Amino acid sequence: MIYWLLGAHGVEVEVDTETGEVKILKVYAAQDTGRAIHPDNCRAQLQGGVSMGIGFALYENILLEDGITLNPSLLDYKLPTAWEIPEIETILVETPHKEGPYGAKGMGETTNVALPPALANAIYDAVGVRIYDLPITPEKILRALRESKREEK
Amino acid sequence: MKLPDFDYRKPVSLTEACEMLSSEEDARPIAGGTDLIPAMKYGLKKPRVLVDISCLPALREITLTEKGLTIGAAVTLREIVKSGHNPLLTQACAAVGSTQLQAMGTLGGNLCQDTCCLYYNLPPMTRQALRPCFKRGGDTCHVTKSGKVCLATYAGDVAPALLALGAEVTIASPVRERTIPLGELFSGKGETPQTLNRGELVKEITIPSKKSFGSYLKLRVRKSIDYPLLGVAVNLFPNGEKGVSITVGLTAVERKPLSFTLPPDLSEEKRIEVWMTYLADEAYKRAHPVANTSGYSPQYRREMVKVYVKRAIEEALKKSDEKNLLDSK
Amino acid sequence: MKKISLTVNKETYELWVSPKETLLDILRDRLDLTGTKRGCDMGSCGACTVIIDGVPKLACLTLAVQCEDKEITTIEGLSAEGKLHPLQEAAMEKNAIQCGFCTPGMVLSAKALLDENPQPTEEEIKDAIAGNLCRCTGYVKIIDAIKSVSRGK
Repeated sequence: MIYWLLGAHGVEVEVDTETGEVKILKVYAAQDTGRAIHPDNCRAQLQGGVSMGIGFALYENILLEDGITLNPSLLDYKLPTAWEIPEIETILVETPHKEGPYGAKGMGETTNVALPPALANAIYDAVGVRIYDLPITPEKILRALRESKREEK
Repeated sequence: MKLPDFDYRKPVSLTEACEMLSSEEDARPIAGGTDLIPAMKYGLKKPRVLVDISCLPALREITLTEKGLTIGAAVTLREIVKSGHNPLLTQACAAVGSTQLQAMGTLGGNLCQDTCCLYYNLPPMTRQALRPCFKRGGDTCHVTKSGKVCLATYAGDVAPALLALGAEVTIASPVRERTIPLGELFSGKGETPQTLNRGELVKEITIPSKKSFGSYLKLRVRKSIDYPLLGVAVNLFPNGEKGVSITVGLTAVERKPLSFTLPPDLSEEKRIEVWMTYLADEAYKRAHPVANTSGYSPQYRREMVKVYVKRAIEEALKKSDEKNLLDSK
Repeated sequence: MKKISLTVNKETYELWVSPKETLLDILRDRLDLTGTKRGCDMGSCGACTVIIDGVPKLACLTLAVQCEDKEITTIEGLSAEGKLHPLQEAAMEKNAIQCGFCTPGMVLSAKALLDENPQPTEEEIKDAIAGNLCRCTGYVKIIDAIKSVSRGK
C-alpha cells in the first residue's frame, strides 16, 4: 500500500532583534491521518513531532571536527526541554484512504520535517530575513538582519 | 559508566574533614557530586579518597546577623532559593541547571566547580582521538590549535552574583580559618580554577548587609540544564546623596568569574545612560569568551555582553524602590 | 566495601556496597527496581530521578554510600498495595506515555512538586519537569496529566 503523508504547519514567533533569540509562541500542526483510529494517540504523535522539529530547527547540532564528534552527550547535544515547547494546536484531517484499514493510513512524527521550514517562514514574516541552514541560531538571525540593513542602504 | 575505585570517608567535624583532605595524597571533598561525579565517570578525575562533607553541621547553616548573611558551603542551591534571603543570590541559584541539580548541588560546590571546555569534557573513547591538552596534563590546547595556555572557561552562575554583592569567603584548614574577598578564591587558570591549598575547604560565604537591588541574566541555549554561555549579575547599592554604587559580575567569559565597579565620579551622576554605557563597555573589554562551548560562537557571546549588562541594569532598577535613583539631571 | 542500610519505598535493605556504586547501580542491579532508568548517566536527562527525603534528585550522580538514613522513593513506591498513584492514573488517562522511558523520572519530579505545592501554575510545573527530557511527547500531555491531578486537590 502506498500512501502520502500530507500535513501543514503554522508557527507564531517573536524575534528579539537585539539578541536574535527566537521565541515560538504557538504551533498549529495539521496532518491527514486517513481515519484516526485513536485520535488522542494521533495528537500525541503530532505534538511529539513538533517538539522534535523544534529541536531540529533551533537547538540540535552535531559538532564535528576532523571526524570527531565534540558533543556526544545529552548535555552538549541539546534536546528541547519542557520550557522550549509552546502551545501546540493539533488538527487531524480525516480523508479516508481507500486502501487503508478502516480508511486509516500511517501518521506520525512527520511534523518533525515540516516544522523547521514553517518556523523559518515565520521568522521571515516577523523580521524579513531568511535563514537557509539549521540550526537557526540567534547569531545567524543577527547577521542576516545586519546584512539586510546594509543592502537597504 | 563506571566510576574509578576510591576510598570513601565520612568525617563528623569540619576539622576532621580538613585533616583528611590534608593528610591524603589525592583526596577531594564531595557533597552533591554534580560536578565531580560526571568528571570521574569520564575518567577525567580519579581521586583516591572522597571526603563526604555534605552533612557537616558547620557547613549547613544559614545565619542572618547585622554583619550580613552567612551561608554554609554545604547548603544546597534549592535550600538557598527556598530560604528567600537575598533576591539576587536566589535568582542566580534558581538559574543553575535544573530542579534536580539545584536540589543536589551546593553553594560551595557551585563556586568550586571545575572549568569546562568542549575538548576536555569528552568521554574516553572520543578523547583518545585528541592529543592530551594542558588541562589533561598534556602540552597543547585544542581551542586555539597552537595555544600556549589552557583556555577552559569558568561557567558557574552563583559566583558573579556573589561578586556583585561584595561577598567574602571563609576557608577552613586543619590549623586555621581565613576570610578573603570572594574574587581571590579564583586563580584565573584553566587547569586549576581555585586557589585552595591542600587541606583547605570552603566553609561559608558572607554577604554584607548593605541594602541593594540586583539582577542576574543568563545566556543559555535552553532554559534548563545548560551552563551559562554568558552570565551577567548587576547589583545597585543606593548611596543616598552620593548616588549609586554599581558592581557587575560576569561569568562564562574567562577562566574565572570577573567583577568591577562603577567609578565614584560616575556614580554621583544620576544618569542611567552614562552608567550603562560605561559598564557595558567595561564588561566588553574584560570578556574574552573562546570557542570551547557547545552553543553560540564566542563572537556572539561577546557581543551579547553589552546587551545583557544594559538589560540587567534595567531589571535591577525596576526592582529598586529608591525613587531618587532615577532622577536625571 | 561498606555495609549500609538503605530504605527504599519504605523497605529497609542491608547491603554490602562498594563506594563507587551509584544509587542507580544499586536500585537497578542489586534491588531489581528497574523502574528508575539509566539515560545519559551524567545528570543531563533526568531519567534516573528519584525522591530522596522528599526532594527530587538524580540517582546516577548519587553514591549509594551517601544514602544511609535517607528515605528513597522510586517509581515502584508509588503504587503501594497494587493501587496506582493519581499521577500514574492521570498519565494513562491523558495519554502522556509513549515510549515510557522518561515517565518514571517525570512522574517522580511531578510528585515531588505536588507534595510541596499542590496547586502549581503551569510555569511551576514546567520548572519542575524541565530537568526531565522527553523525545516522544513534546511534554504537552505530561503537563496536562500533572495539571489534572493538581486541580483535583
